[in-house]
This record gives sequence, C-alpha cells and structure tokens, in this order.
Amino acid sequence: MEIIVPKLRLVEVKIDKDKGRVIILEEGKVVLDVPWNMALSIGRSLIKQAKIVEEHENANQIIKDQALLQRVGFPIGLTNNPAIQKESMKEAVNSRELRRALPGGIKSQSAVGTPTVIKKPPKEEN
Amino acid sequence: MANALYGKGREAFLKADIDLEVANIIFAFVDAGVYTLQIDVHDFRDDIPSEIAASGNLSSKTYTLGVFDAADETVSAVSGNEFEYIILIENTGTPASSHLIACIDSATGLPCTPNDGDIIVQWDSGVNKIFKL
Repeated sequence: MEIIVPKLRLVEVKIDKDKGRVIILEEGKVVLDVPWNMALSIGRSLIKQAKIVEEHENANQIIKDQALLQRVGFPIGLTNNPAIQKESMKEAVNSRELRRALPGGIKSQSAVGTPTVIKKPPKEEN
Repeated sequence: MANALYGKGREAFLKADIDLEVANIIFAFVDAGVYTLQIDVHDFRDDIPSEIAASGNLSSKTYTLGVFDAADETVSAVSGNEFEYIILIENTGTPASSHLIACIDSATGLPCTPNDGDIIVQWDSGVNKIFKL
C-alpha cells in the first residue's frame, strides 16, 4: 500500500475512524487512510519526532533553564541532548546575570570531622 | 584554615584514582613551620617536606553514604617538633603517587608537642566522622 505524505496546512484537519482504519481529513478530503495498527505506529513516531523538533525550537529557553538549575546545584537534567547540555554548562559558568544572581557557584557539601588528639605519657624505661 | 579536603584529592575521587576500600589510608603529623599548606595545589605526599611521624594503615574502614570512618589509631613513641596538622594520605608506598586527602588543623589537642609517648587520634564521632564527601 502506498502512503501519500501530505503537508497539512492545519486549516481544517479532522482525524476520524472508519471501521478498522484511521483517516485524516483536510477540508473534507481524505489525506491519510491507514489501518489502526499503522496509525498507532505513525502516532508514536509523530510524538517522538515532534518532541525532538520541540526541543530544537525551544533550545534557547532550555539552555537558560538548565543553566539556572546547574548554577543552584539542583540535580535535574532537562535534556539529554549533548549539544544543549554543553551550551547550558557554558551559560551556567559564564552568564553575567546568573553569576550576579547566584555568586560563588555551587558549594561543595564535603566536610571533615574534628578528631581528638590524645597524648600519652612516655613509657618509663626500666 | 578549617579542616578541609585537598582539592586535588577530591579530583582524584571523581576520577576514581582513589579507592578508599582498597587503598592503604594513613595519616601523618606535620609541622606547619616546615609545610605551607596549599589546599588546592598540593596533590601528593612529596609536597610535604618532612613529617614528624606517620600512622599505620587505618583499619575497620567504613564508607556509609559517603562518610568515611575508621578505627581510632595510635602512633607509637612519637618524638620531634610540635605539629599543627594531621594529614590524611592514600599511601601507595611512593610519596610521588600517594594522594593527599585531607588536612586537619582543628582538633582537640592540636597543636601537639610529642613527648616520646604514644599519640592516639580519636576520630570525630559526629555525623562527619573522618570526612564526608
């Protein structure tokens, strides 16, 4: 079966069902007519690709948000895109606004205890 | 300066160059008159010009939730100048490859002038024990 891939203009798009098939109508015309299992597969792929495109579109905001989290030491990653992670790290380190707002960067939580030194008297020689 | 971990020692932990469970961990008594501490510069034992005395390997080591602890340790018949630092070291047997871990200059009983008797180091029984990462 041949699937025609139309460029939808989102003017009037309707998704409907017809027996065992899923159809997409644009302005009343059928532009996609596929079995339900293929529709599920296409749907999953659409979501996956849409999320990647969304990340690209919002990259600047993600970089700023991730940089803020890194600056305050909050252990959450907003993206697993290495390029965006790299940029957010640069932003966290170099951004004048962040450095002014959160001076000193991330403080280490390490600590060294306070021991007691006990000096015993020298042993007497016989 | 307060008790602190060496910066290069922390770096070594992150790079898995120090494995506390496997390594021999000792401490040395060091005179501040001969050793000028540089906490983020010094990395190995050969940065310390001389030591008053050094302990044996720490025993009964524990690492629970990133907190390092061990049994109290006695250094026998210590003599020499007054010392101000207790320096924790990963002892490889070679000073040039023995990582410096922590420098303690705040402890009950410091500075301490040896009198040829034994010196016991009793680790902190609070939450930080010897140190916490």
